[in-house]
Amino acid sequence: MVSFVEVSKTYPNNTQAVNSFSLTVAKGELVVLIGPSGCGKTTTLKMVNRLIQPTSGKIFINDVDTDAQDPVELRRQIGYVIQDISLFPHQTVARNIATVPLLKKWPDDKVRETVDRLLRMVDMDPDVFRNRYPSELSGGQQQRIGVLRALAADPEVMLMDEPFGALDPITRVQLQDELKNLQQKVNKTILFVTHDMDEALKIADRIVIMKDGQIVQAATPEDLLRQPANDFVRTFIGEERLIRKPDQVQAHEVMLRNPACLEAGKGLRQGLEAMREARVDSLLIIDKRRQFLGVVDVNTIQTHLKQNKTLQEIMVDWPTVGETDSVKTAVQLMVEQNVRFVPVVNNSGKLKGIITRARVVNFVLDYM
Amino acid sequence: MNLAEFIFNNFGRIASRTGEHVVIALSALFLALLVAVPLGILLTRQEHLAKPVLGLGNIIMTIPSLALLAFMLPVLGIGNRPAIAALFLYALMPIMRNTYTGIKQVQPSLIEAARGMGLRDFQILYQLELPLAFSFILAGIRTTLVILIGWATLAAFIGGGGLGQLIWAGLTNINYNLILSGAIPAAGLALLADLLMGRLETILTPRGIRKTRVKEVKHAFNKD
Ligand SMILES: Nc1ncnc2c1ncn2[C@@H]1O[C@H](COP(=O)(O)OP(=O)(O)OP(=O)(O)O)[C@@H](O)[C@H]1O
Ligand SMILES: [Mg+2]
Repeated sequence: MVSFVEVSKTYPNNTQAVNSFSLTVAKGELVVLIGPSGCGKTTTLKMVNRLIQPTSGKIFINDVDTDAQDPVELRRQIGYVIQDISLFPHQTVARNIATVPLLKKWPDDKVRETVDRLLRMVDMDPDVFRNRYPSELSGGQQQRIGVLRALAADPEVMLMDEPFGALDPITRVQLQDELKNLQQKVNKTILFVTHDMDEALKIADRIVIMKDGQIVQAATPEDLLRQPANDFVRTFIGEERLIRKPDQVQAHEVMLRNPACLEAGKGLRQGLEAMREARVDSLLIIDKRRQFLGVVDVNTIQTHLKQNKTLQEIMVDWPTVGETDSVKTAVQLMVEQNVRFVPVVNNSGKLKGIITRARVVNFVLDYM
Repeated sequence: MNLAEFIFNNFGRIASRTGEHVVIALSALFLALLVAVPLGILLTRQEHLAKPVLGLGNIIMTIPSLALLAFMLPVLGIGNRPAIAALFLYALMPIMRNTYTGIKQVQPSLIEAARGMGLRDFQILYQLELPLAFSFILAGIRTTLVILIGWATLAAFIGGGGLGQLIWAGLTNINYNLILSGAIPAAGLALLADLLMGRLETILTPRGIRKTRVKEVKHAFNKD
Protein backbone atom coordinates (compact mmCIF):
# COMPACT_ATOMS: atom_id res chain seq x y z
CA MET A 1 0.00 0.00 0.00
CA VAL A 2 1.27 3.44 -0.92
CA SER A 3 -0.12 6.61 0.64
CA PHE A 4 0.61 10.15 -0.41
CA VAL A 5 -0.32 12.72 2.21
CA GLU A 6 -0.41 16.33 1.02
CA VAL A 7 2.73 15.86 -1.04
CA SER A 8 4.12 18.93 -2.83
CA LYS A 9 7.24 19.54 -4.84
CA THR A 10 8.62 22.90 -5.86
CA TYR A 11 11.83 22.73 -7.90
CA PRO A 12 14.66 25.17 -7.19
CA ASN A 13 13.60 27.15 -10.29
CA ASN A 14 10.23 27.73 -8.54
CA THR A 15 8.29 25.35 -10.78
CA GLN A 16 5.57 23.90 -8.62
CA ALA A 17 5.47 20.43 -10.16
CA VAL A 18 3.24 18.70 -7.60
CA ASN A 19 0.76 20.48 -5.42
CA SER A 20 -0.76 18.95 -2.32
CA PHE A 21 -1.16 15.49 -3.81
CA SER A 22 -3.02 13.01 -1.62
CA LEU A 23 -3.80 9.48 -2.73
CA THR A 24 -3.88 6.00 -1.29
CA VAL A 25 -3.07 3.10 -3.55
CA ALA A 26 -4.35 -0.15 -2.09
CA LYS A 27 -2.26 -3.31 -2.00
CA GLY A 28 -2.52 -5.08 -5.33
CA GLU A 29 -4.08 -2.08 -7.05
CA LEU A 30 -2.92 -0.79 -10.42
CA VAL A 31 -3.28 2.98 -10.46
CA VAL A 32 -2.59 4.92 -13.65
CA LEU A 33 -1.47 8.55 -13.49
CA ILE A 34 -2.40 10.44 -16.61
CA GLY A 35 -2.42 14.09 -17.60
CA PRO A 36 -0.93 16.61 -19.99
CA SER A 37 2.85 16.90 -20.38
CA GLY A 38 4.44 18.65 -17.43
CA CYS A 39 1.56 18.05 -15.02
CA GLY A 40 3.90 16.35 -12.54
CA LYS A 41 3.41 12.62 -13.16
CA THR A 42 7.10 11.72 -13.27
CA THR A 43 7.84 13.94 -10.31
CA THR A 44 5.10 12.20 -8.30
CA LEU A 45 6.51 8.79 -9.18
CA LYS A 46 10.10 9.67 -8.38
CA MET A 47 9.17 10.97 -4.96
CA VAL A 48 8.04 7.46 -4.03
CA ASN A 49 11.53 5.99 -4.44
CA ARG A 50 13.12 9.22 -3.31
CA LEU A 51 14.91 10.02 -6.53
CA ILE A 52 13.23 13.35 -5.82
CA GLN A 53 12.71 14.69 -2.33
CA PRO A 54 9.26 16.23 -1.68
CA THR A 55 9.24 19.86 -0.56
CA SER A 56 6.48 19.01 1.89
CA GLY A 57 4.14 16.18 2.72
CA LYS A 58 4.74 12.51 3.42
CA ILE A 59 4.71 9.26 1.51
CA PHE A 60 4.07 6.01 3.33
CA ILE A 61 4.60 2.47 2.08
CA ASN A 62 2.69 0.01 4.25
CA ASP A 63 2.36 2.76 6.83
CA VAL A 64 6.12 3.25 7.07
CA ASP A 65 7.32 6.79 6.34
CA THR A 66 9.66 6.53 3.34
CA ASP A 67 11.68 9.43 4.78
CA ALA A 68 12.63 7.23 7.69
CA GLN A 69 14.28 4.66 5.41
CA ASP A 70 17.68 4.60 3.75
CA PRO A 71 16.92 5.70 0.17
CA VAL A 72 19.10 2.97 -1.35
CA GLU A 73 17.45 0.23 0.70
CA LEU A 74 14.05 1.74 -0.11
CA ARG A 75 14.75 1.65 -3.85
CA ARG A 76 15.74 -1.99 -3.69
CA GLN A 77 12.26 -2.73 -2.32
CA ILE A 78 10.55 -0.89 -5.19
CA GLY A 79 10.48 -1.97 -8.84
CA TYR A 80 11.27 0.84 -11.28
CA VAL A 81 10.75 0.90 -15.03
CA ILE A 82 11.28 3.96 -17.22
CA GLN A 83 10.42 4.81 -20.78
CA ASP A 84 13.91 4.70 -22.28
CA ILE A 85 14.23 1.02 -21.84
CA SER A 86 17.56 1.56 -20.12
CA LEU A 87 18.79 -1.99 -20.02
CA PHE A 88 22.51 -2.03 -19.34
CA PRO A 89 23.93 -2.59 -22.83
CA HIS A 90 27.17 -4.22 -21.67
CA GLN A 91 25.39 -6.85 -19.61
CA THR A 92 23.52 -9.94 -20.70
CA VAL A 93 19.78 -10.35 -20.31
CA ALA A 94 20.34 -12.57 -17.29
CA ARG A 95 22.72 -10.09 -15.66
CA ASN A 96 20.30 -7.24 -16.29
CA ILE A 97 17.41 -9.09 -14.70
CA ALA A 98 19.62 -10.06 -11.78
CA THR A 99 20.59 -6.47 -10.96
CA VAL A 100 18.66 -6.07 -7.73
CA PRO A 101 18.95 -9.70 -6.53
CA LEU A 102 22.74 -9.36 -6.88
CA LEU A 103 22.68 -6.05 -4.99
CA LYS A 104 20.80 -7.90 -2.29
CA LYS A 105 23.46 -10.63 -2.37
CA TRP A 106 21.10 -13.50 -3.11
CA PRO A 107 22.86 -16.86 -3.50
CA ASP A 108 23.81 -17.70 -7.11
CA ASP A 109 21.40 -20.57 -7.62
CA LYS A 110 18.47 -18.54 -6.36
CA VAL A 111 19.41 -15.73 -8.77
CA ARG A 112 19.67 -18.16 -11.69
CA GLU A 113 16.38 -19.78 -10.80
CA THR A 114 14.62 -16.40 -10.58
CA VAL A 115 15.98 -15.25 -13.93
CA ASP A 116 14.78 -18.42 -15.68
CA ARG A 117 11.38 -18.36 -14.00
CA LEU A 118 10.81 -14.72 -14.97
CA LEU A 119 11.88 -15.29 -18.58
CA ARG A 120 9.47 -18.21 -18.84
CA MET A 121 6.71 -16.06 -17.39
CA VAL A 122 6.85 -13.82 -20.48
CA ASP A 123 7.34 -16.76 -22.84
CA MET A 124 11.00 -16.12 -23.54
CA ASP A 125 13.00 -19.35 -23.54
CA PRO A 126 15.78 -18.91 -20.96
CA ASP A 127 18.16 -21.08 -22.97
CA VAL A 128 17.74 -18.79 -25.96
CA PHE A 129 17.68 -15.43 -24.27
CA ARG A 130 19.68 -15.71 -21.05
CA ASN A 131 23.00 -14.83 -22.67
CA ARG A 132 21.77 -12.36 -25.24
CA TYR A 133 22.74 -8.72 -24.99
CA PRO A 134 20.04 -6.04 -25.12
CA SER A 135 21.18 -5.03 -28.62
CA GLU A 136 20.27 -8.55 -29.75
CA LEU A 137 16.60 -8.16 -28.72
CA SER A 138 13.62 -6.50 -30.37
CA GLY A 139 12.13 -3.39 -28.75
CA GLY A 140 9.27 -5.37 -27.28
CA GLN A 141 11.60 -8.01 -25.87
CA GLN A 142 13.83 -5.33 -24.38
CA GLN A 143 10.89 -3.72 -22.65
CA ARG A 144 9.78 -7.11 -21.29
CA ILE A 145 13.25 -7.55 -19.82
CA GLY A 146 12.94 -4.03 -18.38
CA VAL A 147 9.78 -5.10 -16.58
CA LEU A 148 11.31 -8.40 -15.44
CA ARG A 149 14.33 -6.54 -14.09
CA ALA A 150 11.98 -4.46 -11.96
CA LEU A 151 10.13 -7.58 -10.80
CA ALA A 152 13.21 -9.68 -10.05
CA ALA A 153 13.60 -9.03 -6.34
CA ASP A 154 9.85 -9.46 -5.90
CA PRO A 155 9.10 -5.89 -4.81
CA GLU A 156 5.70 -5.20 -3.39
CA VAL A 157 5.45 -1.85 -5.16
CA MET A 158 6.25 -1.12 -8.81
CA LEU A 159 6.72 2.31 -10.40
CA MET A 160 6.37 2.40 -14.16
CA ASP A 161 6.93 5.67 -16.05
CA GLU A 162 5.52 5.38 -19.58
CA PRO A 163 7.09 1.96 -19.95
CA PHE A 164 5.40 1.18 -23.26
CA GLY A 165 5.54 4.68 -24.74
CA ALA A 166 8.25 3.92 -27.29
CA LEU A 167 6.73 0.72 -28.65
CA ASP A 168 4.71 0.18 -31.80
CA PRO A 169 0.94 -0.10 -31.20
CA ILE A 170 0.73 -3.87 -31.64
CA THR A 171 3.57 -4.67 -29.27
CA ARG A 172 2.19 -2.11 -26.85
CA VAL A 173 -1.20 -3.79 -26.67
CA GLN A 174 0.51 -7.16 -26.26
CA LEU A 175 2.59 -5.89 -23.35
CA GLN A 176 -0.46 -4.26 -21.76
CA ASP A 177 -2.17 -7.65 -21.79
CA GLU A 178 0.91 -9.29 -20.34
CA LEU A 179 1.19 -6.68 -17.62
CA LYS A 180 -2.45 -7.15 -16.69
CA ASN A 181 -1.90 -10.91 -16.57
CA LEU A 182 1.25 -10.51 -14.57
CA GLN A 183 -0.48 -8.17 -12.19
CA GLN A 184 -3.13 -10.79 -11.49
CA LYS A 185 -0.49 -13.48 -11.02
CA VAL A 186 1.94 -11.59 -8.83
CA ASN A 187 -0.44 -9.12 -7.19
CA LYS A 188 1.79 -6.05 -7.14
CA THR A 189 0.86 -2.55 -6.14
CA ILE A 190 1.58 -0.61 -9.32
CA LEU A 191 1.82 3.10 -10.06
CA PHE A 192 1.82 3.47 -13.82
CA VAL A 193 2.30 6.71 -15.78
CA THR A 194 1.04 7.10 -19.31
CA HIS A 195 -0.02 9.63 -21.92
CA ASP A 196 -2.32 7.15 -23.60
CA MET A 197 -5.95 7.17 -22.45
CA ASP A 198 -6.70 3.86 -24.16
CA GLU A 199 -3.82 2.29 -22.28
CA ALA A 200 -5.10 3.75 -19.01
CA LEU A 201 -8.66 2.56 -19.60
CA LYS A 202 -7.39 -0.88 -20.48
CA ILE A 203 -5.07 -1.66 -17.60
CA ALA A 204 -6.10 0.57 -14.70
CA ASP A 205 -8.01 -0.44 -11.62
CA ARG A 206 -8.16 3.27 -10.97
CA ILE A 207 -7.22 6.27 -13.09
CA VAL A 208 -5.85 9.47 -11.57
CA ILE A 209 -6.18 12.45 -13.87
CA MET A 210 -3.69 15.19 -13.05
CA LYS A 211 -3.40 18.81 -14.07
CA ASP A 212 -0.87 21.38 -12.85
CA GLY A 213 0.41 19.06 -10.15
CA GLN A 214 -3.02 18.34 -8.71
CA ILE A 215 -5.50 15.50 -8.92
CA VAL A 216 -8.51 16.51 -10.97
CA GLN A 217 -10.29 13.20 -10.63
CA ALA A 218 -9.45 9.75 -9.34
CA ALA A 219 -11.92 7.04 -10.31
CA THR A 220 -12.32 3.62 -11.85
CA PRO A 221 -12.31 3.63 -15.67
CA GLU A 222 -16.04 2.86 -15.62
CA ASP A 223 -16.90 5.76 -13.31
CA LEU A 224 -14.63 8.09 -15.21
CA LEU A 225 -16.43 7.35 -18.46
CA ARG A 226 -19.83 7.73 -16.85
CA GLN A 227 -19.20 10.72 -14.66
CA PRO A 228 -16.28 12.89 -15.72
CA ALA A 229 -15.78 15.49 -12.98
CA ASN A 230 -15.52 18.48 -15.31
CA ASP A 231 -14.87 19.71 -18.83
CA PHE A 232 -11.11 19.19 -18.50
CA VAL A 233 -11.61 15.52 -17.73
CA ARG A 234 -14.23 15.25 -20.45
CA THR A 235 -11.97 16.65 -23.17
CA PHE A 236 -9.03 14.71 -21.80
CA ILE A 237 -10.88 11.44 -22.00
CA GLY A 238 -12.24 12.38 -25.40
CA GLU A 239 -15.97 12.81 -26.10
CA GLU A 240 -16.01 9.72 -28.26
CA ARG A 241 -15.07 7.49 -25.35
CA LEU A 242 -17.57 8.85 -22.84
CA ILE A 243 -20.52 6.72 -21.87
CA ARG A 244 -23.52 9.07 -21.83
CA LYS A 245 -27.15 8.71 -20.98
CA PRO A 246 -29.79 10.05 -23.45
CA ASP A 247 -30.26 13.15 -21.29
CA GLN A 248 -26.54 13.97 -21.68
CA VAL A 249 -26.55 13.80 -25.46
CA GLN A 250 -27.70 16.84 -27.40
CA ALA A 251 -30.17 16.79 -30.26
CA HIS A 252 -27.66 18.12 -32.80
CA GLU A 253 -25.34 15.13 -32.16
CA VAL A 254 -28.05 12.73 -33.27
CA MET A 255 -30.01 14.65 -35.92
CA LEU A 256 -29.91 14.15 -39.69
CA ARG A 257 -28.40 17.25 -41.13
CA ASN A 258 -30.18 17.64 -44.47
CA PRO A 259 -33.88 17.04 -44.04
CA ALA A 260 -36.17 17.39 -47.07
CA CYS A 261 -37.51 20.95 -46.90
CA LEU A 262 -39.02 23.53 -49.18
CA GLU A 263 -39.89 27.24 -49.03
CA ALA A 264 -43.44 28.09 -47.98
CA GLY A 265 -44.28 30.06 -51.16
CA LYS A 266 -43.78 27.09 -53.51
CA GLY A 267 -46.74 25.32 -55.14
CA LEU A 268 -48.14 21.87 -54.34
CA ARG A 269 -46.78 20.19 -57.49
CA GLN A 270 -43.29 21.37 -56.62
CA GLY A 271 -43.86 20.00 -53.13
CA LEU A 272 -44.87 16.60 -54.45
CA GLU A 273 -41.86 16.55 -56.78
CA ALA A 274 -39.49 17.35 -53.86
CA MET A 275 -40.96 14.52 -51.80
CA ARG A 276 -40.54 12.09 -54.65
CA GLU A 277 -36.94 13.11 -55.15
CA ALA A 278 -36.07 12.80 -51.47
CA ARG A 279 -38.22 9.65 -51.08
CA VAL A 280 -40.02 11.04 -48.05
CA ASP A 281 -43.69 11.41 -47.17
CA SER A 282 -43.40 14.72 -45.32
CA LEU A 283 -41.79 18.06 -46.11
CA LEU A 284 -40.46 20.59 -43.63
CA ILE A 285 -41.65 24.02 -44.65
CA ILE A 286 -39.31 27.01 -44.18
CA ASP A 287 -39.22 30.66 -45.12
CA LYS A 288 -36.53 32.43 -47.13
CA ARG A 289 -34.31 32.68 -44.02
CA ARG A 290 -34.72 28.96 -43.30
CA GLN A 291 -36.97 29.65 -40.32
CA PHE A 292 -39.05 26.55 -39.63
CA LEU A 293 -42.78 27.11 -40.25
CA GLY A 294 -44.56 23.77 -40.34
CA VAL A 295 -45.01 20.40 -42.01
CA VAL A 296 -46.88 19.18 -45.07
CA ASP A 297 -47.48 15.45 -45.60
CA VAL A 298 -48.09 13.63 -48.83
CA ASN A 299 -51.77 12.89 -48.19
CA THR A 300 -52.64 16.53 -47.61
CA ILE A 301 -50.91 17.50 -50.85
CA GLN A 302 -52.77 14.81 -52.78
CA THR A 303 -56.14 16.05 -51.45
CA HIS A 304 -55.49 19.69 -52.40
CA LEU A 305 -53.58 19.02 -55.60
CA LYS A 306 -56.34 20.26 -57.91
CA GLN A 307 -56.55 23.63 -56.12
CA ASN A 308 -54.05 26.35 -56.87
CA LYS A 309 -52.55 26.71 -53.40
CA THR A 310 -49.10 27.29 -51.87
CA LEU A 311 -47.55 24.94 -49.33
CA GLN A 312 -47.98 27.61 -46.68
CA GLU A 313 -51.76 27.41 -46.98
CA ILE A 314 -52.01 23.69 -46.28
CA MET A 315 -49.14 23.13 -43.82
CA VAL A 316 -49.78 22.23 -40.16
CA ASP A 317 -47.97 23.28 -36.97
CA TRP A 318 -45.37 20.86 -35.64
CA PRO A 319 -43.46 20.52 -32.35
CA THR A 320 -39.68 21.19 -32.52
CA VAL A 321 -36.63 20.73 -30.26
CA GLY A 322 -33.69 23.09 -29.84
CA GLU A 323 -30.29 21.83 -31.02
CA THR A 324 -28.94 21.82 -27.49
CA ASP A 325 -31.98 20.05 -26.04
CA SER A 326 -31.32 16.47 -25.06
CA VAL A 327 -32.22 13.45 -27.13
CA LYS A 328 -34.41 12.47 -24.21
CA THR A 329 -36.54 15.61 -24.73
CA ALA A 330 -36.87 14.80 -28.41
CA VAL A 331 -38.02 11.24 -27.69
CA GLN A 332 -40.50 12.43 -25.02
CA LEU A 333 -41.93 14.89 -27.51
CA MET A 334 -42.35 12.21 -30.15
CA VAL A 335 -44.17 9.97 -27.66
CA GLU A 336 -46.39 12.70 -26.15
CA GLN A 337 -47.41 14.31 -29.43
CA ASN A 338 -47.49 11.04 -31.30
CA VAL A 339 -45.29 12.23 -34.17
CA ARG A 340 -42.77 10.19 -36.17
CA PHE A 341 -40.12 12.90 -36.26
CA VAL A 342 -39.20 16.26 -34.77
CA PRO A 343 -37.37 19.06 -36.59
CA VAL A 344 -34.32 20.49 -34.78
CA VAL A 345 -34.02 24.29 -34.73
CA ASN A 346 -31.46 26.67 -33.32
CA ASN A 347 -32.40 29.33 -30.78
CA SER A 348 -33.54 31.77 -33.48
CA GLY A 349 -35.85 29.18 -34.98
CA LYS A 350 -33.74 28.28 -37.99
CA LEU A 351 -34.04 24.68 -39.22
CA LYS A 352 -30.88 22.68 -38.52
CA GLY A 353 -31.92 19.06 -38.93
CA ILE A 354 -34.38 16.36 -38.05
CA ILE A 355 -34.59 13.54 -35.54
CA THR A 356 -36.55 10.53 -36.70
CA ARG A 357 -37.49 7.32 -34.87
CA ALA A 358 -34.98 5.35 -36.94
CA ARG A 359 -32.31 7.83 -35.91
CA VAL A 360 -33.10 7.37 -32.23
CA VAL A 361 -33.01 3.59 -32.53
CA ASN A 362 -29.59 3.74 -34.21
CA PHE A 363 -28.30 6.03 -31.50
CA VAL A 364 -29.47 3.70 -28.75
CA LEU A 365 -27.88 0.74 -30.51
CA ASP A 366 -24.58 2.61 -30.74
CA TYR A 367 -24.49 3.08 -27.00
CA MET A 368 -25.61 -0.38 -26.00
CA MET B 1 79.13 -3.27 -43.01
CA ASN B 2 75.51 -3.39 -44.05
CA LEU B 3 72.52 -2.81 -41.75
CA ALA B 4 71.69 -6.49 -41.27
CA GLU B 5 75.23 -7.30 -40.21
CA PHE B 6 75.30 -4.26 -37.96
CA ILE B 7 72.13 -5.28 -36.20
CA PHE B 8 73.35 -8.86 -35.88
CA ASN B 9 76.65 -7.76 -34.35
CA ASN B 10 75.02 -5.28 -31.98
CA PHE B 11 71.97 -7.33 -31.16
CA GLY B 12 72.46 -7.32 -27.39
CA ARG B 13 72.92 -3.57 -27.27
CA ILE B 14 69.87 -2.88 -29.42
CA ALA B 15 67.76 -5.29 -27.42
CA SER B 16 68.65 -3.72 -24.10
CA ARG B 17 67.99 -0.20 -25.49
CA THR B 18 64.62 -1.46 -26.75
CA GLY B 19 63.90 -2.82 -23.28
CA GLU B 20 64.75 0.51 -21.68
CA HIS B 21 62.60 2.25 -24.25
CA VAL B 22 59.60 0.14 -23.41
CA VAL B 23 60.15 0.64 -19.69
CA ILE B 24 60.32 4.43 -20.08
CA ALA B 25 57.15 4.60 -22.17
CA LEU B 26 55.18 2.14 -20.06
CA SER B 27 56.23 3.74 -16.75
CA ALA B 28 55.05 7.12 -17.96
CA LEU B 29 51.81 5.57 -19.20
CA PHE B 30 51.23 3.64 -16.00
CA LEU B 31 51.83 6.67 -13.78
CA ALA B 32 49.61 8.77 -16.01
CA LEU B 33 46.82 6.17 -15.76
CA LEU B 34 47.04 6.23 -11.97
CA VAL B 35 46.49 9.97 -11.98
CA ALA B 36 44.48 10.72 -15.11
CA VAL B 37 41.68 8.16 -14.78
CA PRO B 38 40.68 9.19 -11.24
CA LEU B 39 41.08 12.83 -12.28
CA GLY B 40 38.83 12.28 -15.29
CA ILE B 41 36.23 10.66 -13.02
CA LEU B 42 36.54 13.51 -10.54
CA LEU B 43 35.88 16.03 -13.31
CA THR B 44 32.58 14.32 -14.16
CA ARG B 45 31.56 14.74 -10.52
CA GLN B 46 32.82 18.34 -10.25
CA GLU B 47 31.60 19.79 -13.52
CA HIS B 48 32.82 23.28 -12.72
CA LEU B 49 36.43 22.03 -12.60
CA ALA B 50 36.22 20.29 -15.96
CA LYS B 51 36.79 23.33 -18.13
CA PRO B 52 39.79 24.84 -16.32
CA VAL B 53 41.51 21.49 -15.76
CA LEU B 54 41.05 20.25 -19.31
CA GLY B 55 42.20 23.70 -20.49
CA LEU B 56 45.38 23.46 -18.42
CA GLY B 57 46.01 20.02 -19.86
CA ASN B 58 45.71 21.44 -23.35
CA ILE B 59 48.33 24.07 -22.53
CA ILE B 60 50.79 21.38 -21.41
CA MET B 61 50.19 19.62 -24.70
CA THR B 62 51.29 22.71 -26.62
CA ILE B 63 54.70 22.93 -24.95
CA PRO B 64 57.26 21.53 -27.41
CA SER B 65 58.44 18.16 -26.19
CA LEU B 66 62.12 18.97 -26.07
CA ALA B 67 61.40 22.14 -24.12
CA LEU B 68 59.32 20.19 -21.62
CA LEU B 69 62.15 17.72 -21.22
CA ALA B 70 64.52 20.59 -20.60
CA PHE B 71 62.22 22.04 -17.91
CA MET B 72 62.49 18.75 -16.05
CA LEU B 73 66.26 18.88 -15.83
CA PRO B 74 66.67 21.44 -13.04
CA VAL B 75 64.02 19.67 -10.96
CA LEU B 76 64.79 16.02 -11.51
CA GLY B 77 68.37 16.05 -12.81
CA ILE B 78 69.42 13.97 -15.78
CA GLY B 79 68.58 10.38 -16.68
CA ASN B 80 65.38 8.44 -17.10
CA ARG B 81 63.47 10.10 -14.28
CA PRO B 82 62.98 13.54 -15.89
CA ALA B 83 62.15 11.82 -19.18
CA ILE B 84 59.46 9.70 -17.56
CA ALA B 85 58.14 12.77 -15.75
CA ALA B 86 57.84 14.76 -18.96
CA LEU B 87 56.18 11.92 -20.83
CA PHE B 88 53.86 11.43 -17.86
CA LEU B 89 52.71 15.03 -18.20
CA TYR B 90 51.98 14.52 -21.87
CA ALA B 91 50.05 11.34 -21.23
CA LEU B 92 47.80 12.89 -18.58
CA MET B 93 45.76 14.99 -20.91
CA PRO B 94 44.49 12.52 -23.54
CA ILE B 95 43.71 9.89 -20.92
CA MET B 96 41.97 12.34 -18.61
CA ARG B 97 39.94 13.81 -21.44
CA ASN B 98 38.88 10.43 -22.77
CA THR B 99 37.91 9.21 -19.31
CA TYR B 100 35.85 12.35 -18.83
CA THR B 101 34.13 12.16 -22.24
CA GLY B 102 33.67 8.42 -21.91
CA ILE B 103 31.74 8.80 -18.69
CA LYS B 104 29.83 11.84 -19.89
CA GLN B 105 28.52 10.00 -22.94
CA VAL B 106 26.80 7.37 -20.81
CA GLN B 107 23.06 7.93 -21.26
CA PRO B 108 21.59 9.76 -18.24
CA SER B 109 18.57 7.46 -18.38
CA LEU B 110 20.81 4.45 -17.70
CA ILE B 111 22.20 6.14 -14.64
CA GLU B 112 18.75 7.09 -13.49
CA ALA B 113 17.51 3.53 -13.95
CA ALA B 114 20.50 2.28 -11.96
CA ARG B 115 19.98 4.76 -9.16
CA GLY B 116 16.25 4.01 -9.15
CA MET B 117 16.98 0.32 -8.64
CA GLY B 118 19.18 1.04 -5.64
CA LEU B 119 22.75 1.10 -6.93
CA ARG B 120 25.00 3.26 -4.81
CA ASP B 121 27.20 5.93 -6.41
CA PHE B 122 30.32 3.76 -6.47
CA GLN B 123 28.33 0.84 -7.86
CA ILE B 124 27.05 3.07 -10.63
CA LEU B 125 30.67 4.03 -11.34
CA TYR B 126 32.04 0.48 -11.37
CA GLN B 127 29.11 -1.39 -12.85
CA LEU B 128 27.93 1.14 -15.36
CA GLU B 129 30.00 4.23 -16.06
CA LEU B 130 33.48 2.74 -16.22
CA PRO B 131 32.51 -0.30 -18.32
CA LEU B 132 30.61 1.92 -20.72
CA ALA B 133 33.44 4.47 -20.83
CA PHE B 134 35.96 1.68 -21.26
CA SER B 135 36.36 1.84 -25.03
CA PHE B 136 36.90 5.62 -24.79
CA ILE B 137 39.52 5.22 -22.08
CA LEU B 138 41.22 2.44 -24.00
CA ALA B 139 41.25 4.55 -27.17
CA GLY B 140 42.94 7.32 -25.16
CA ILE B 141 45.51 4.87 -23.84
CA ARG B 142 46.14 3.54 -27.32
CA THR B 143 46.97 6.88 -28.95
CA THR B 144 48.89 7.98 -25.89
CA LEU B 145 51.05 4.88 -25.86
CA VAL B 146 51.92 5.28 -29.53
CA ILE B 147 52.91 8.91 -28.97
CA LEU B 148 54.90 8.05 -25.84
CA ILE B 149 56.90 5.41 -27.71
CA GLY B 150 57.80 8.02 -30.29
CA TRP B 151 58.71 10.68 -27.78
CA ALA B 152 60.63 8.30 -25.53
CA THR B 153 63.44 8.54 -28.11
CA LEU B 154 63.99 12.06 -26.76
CA ALA B 155 64.92 10.70 -23.34
CA ALA B 156 68.45 10.16 -24.58
CA PHE B 157 68.86 13.91 -25.08
CA ILE B 158 68.67 14.46 -21.35
CA GLY B 159 70.81 11.56 -20.35
CA GLY B 160 68.18 8.87 -20.26
CA GLY B 161 68.24 5.46 -21.96
CA GLY B 162 66.18 3.91 -24.69
CA LEU B 163 66.46 3.67 -28.44
CA GLY B 164 67.11 7.41 -28.57
CA GLN B 165 70.67 6.68 -27.42
CA LEU B 166 71.39 4.74 -30.62
CA ILE B 167 69.85 7.46 -32.77
CA TRP B 168 71.69 10.20 -30.87
CA ALA B 169 75.01 8.40 -31.10
CA GLY B 170 74.44 7.71 -34.80
CA LEU B 171 73.69 11.37 -35.44
CA THR B 172 76.84 12.61 -33.73
CA ASN B 173 78.98 10.01 -35.54
CA ILE B 174 77.05 10.24 -38.79
CA ASN B 175 76.58 6.50 -38.61
CA TYR B 176 73.43 5.59 -40.56
CA ASN B 177 73.42 2.00 -39.38
CA LEU B 178 73.37 3.21 -35.81
CA ILE B 179 70.57 5.70 -36.51
CA LEU B 180 68.46 3.08 -38.24
CA SER B 181 69.08 0.44 -35.59
CA GLY B 182 67.41 2.87 -33.17
CA ALA B 183 64.73 4.25 -35.47
CA ILE B 184 63.46 0.96 -36.90
CA PRO B 185 62.77 -0.77 -33.56
CA ALA B 186 61.14 2.45 -32.30
CA ALA B 187 58.79 2.52 -35.26
CA GLY B 188 58.18 -1.21 -34.88
CA LEU B 189 57.35 -0.78 -31.21
CA ALA B 190 54.84 1.94 -31.99
CA LEU B 191 53.11 -0.24 -34.59
CA LEU B 192 53.13 -3.22 -32.27
CA ALA B 193 51.64 -1.19 -29.42
CA ASP B 194 48.86 0.03 -31.69
CA LEU B 195 48.12 -3.49 -32.85
CA LEU B 196 48.12 -4.99 -29.37
CA MET B 197 45.90 -2.28 -27.94
CA GLY B 198 43.46 -2.82 -30.78
CA ARG B 199 43.33 -6.53 -30.03
CA LEU B 200 42.92 -5.82 -26.35
CA GLU B 201 39.94 -3.59 -27.06
CA THR B 202 38.19 -6.29 -29.08
CA ILE B 203 38.83 -8.92 -26.43
CA LEU B 204 37.71 -6.83 -23.48
CA THR B 205 34.61 -5.22 -24.99
CA PRO B 206 31.47 -7.24 -24.24
CA ARG B 207 29.48 -8.35 -27.28
CA GLY B 208 26.59 -6.08 -26.33
CA ILE B 209 28.48 -2.85 -26.96
CA ARG B 210 30.78 -3.77 -29.83
CA LYS B 211 30.38 -1.28 -32.60
CA THR B 212 29.56 -3.85 -35.26
CA ARG B 213 26.45 -5.46 -33.94
CA VAL B 214 25.54 -8.93 -35.05
CA LYS B 215 22.77 -7.95 -37.41
CA GLU B 216 22.12 -11.46 -38.75
CA VAL B 217 21.45 -12.81 -35.30
CA LYS B 218 19.08 -9.97 -34.65
CA HIS B 219 17.03 -10.70 -37.71
CA ALA B 220 16.99 -14.44 -37.33
CA PHE B 221 15.60 -14.31 -33.84
CA ASN B 222 13.37 -11.28 -34.05
CA LYS B 223 10.09 -12.60 -32.80
CA ASP B 224 8.14 -9.36 -32.65
N1 LIG C 1 14.73 18.82 -12.35
C1 LIG C 1 13.81 19.77 -12.60
N2 LIG C 1 14.06 21.07 -12.35
C2 LIG C 1 13.14 22.02 -12.59
N3 LIG C 1 11.92 21.80 -13.08
C3 LIG C 1 11.60 20.53 -13.34
C4 LIG C 1 12.51 19.45 -13.12
N4 LIG C 1 11.92 18.31 -13.49
C5 LIG C 1 10.69 18.64 -13.91
N5 LIG C 1 10.49 19.97 -13.83
C6 LIG C 1 9.25 20.69 -14.17
O1 LIG C 1 8.23 20.22 -13.32
C7 LIG C 1 7.02 20.04 -14.04
C8 LIG C 1 6.55 18.61 -13.93
O2 LIG C 1 7.48 17.77 -14.57
P1 LIG C 1 7.25 16.20 -14.70
O3 LIG C 1 8.46 15.65 -15.35
O4 LIG C 1 6.86 15.64 -13.39
O5 LIG C 1 6.02 16.16 -15.70
P2 LIG C 1 5.32 14.93 -16.40
O6 LIG C 1 3.89 15.00 -16.02
O7 LIG C 1 6.05 13.68 -16.11
O8 LIG C 1 5.47 15.31 -17.93
P3 LIG C 1 5.66 14.39 -19.21
O9 LIG C 1 4.31 13.83 -19.49
O10 LIG C 1 6.10 15.35 -20.26
O11 LIG C 1 6.68 13.36 -18.87
C9 LIG C 1 7.31 20.49 -15.45
O12 LIG C 1 6.88 21.83 -15.57
C10 LIG C 1 8.80 20.40 -15.57
O13 LIG C 1 9.29 21.35 -16.47
MG1 LIG D 1 7.19 12.28 -17.33
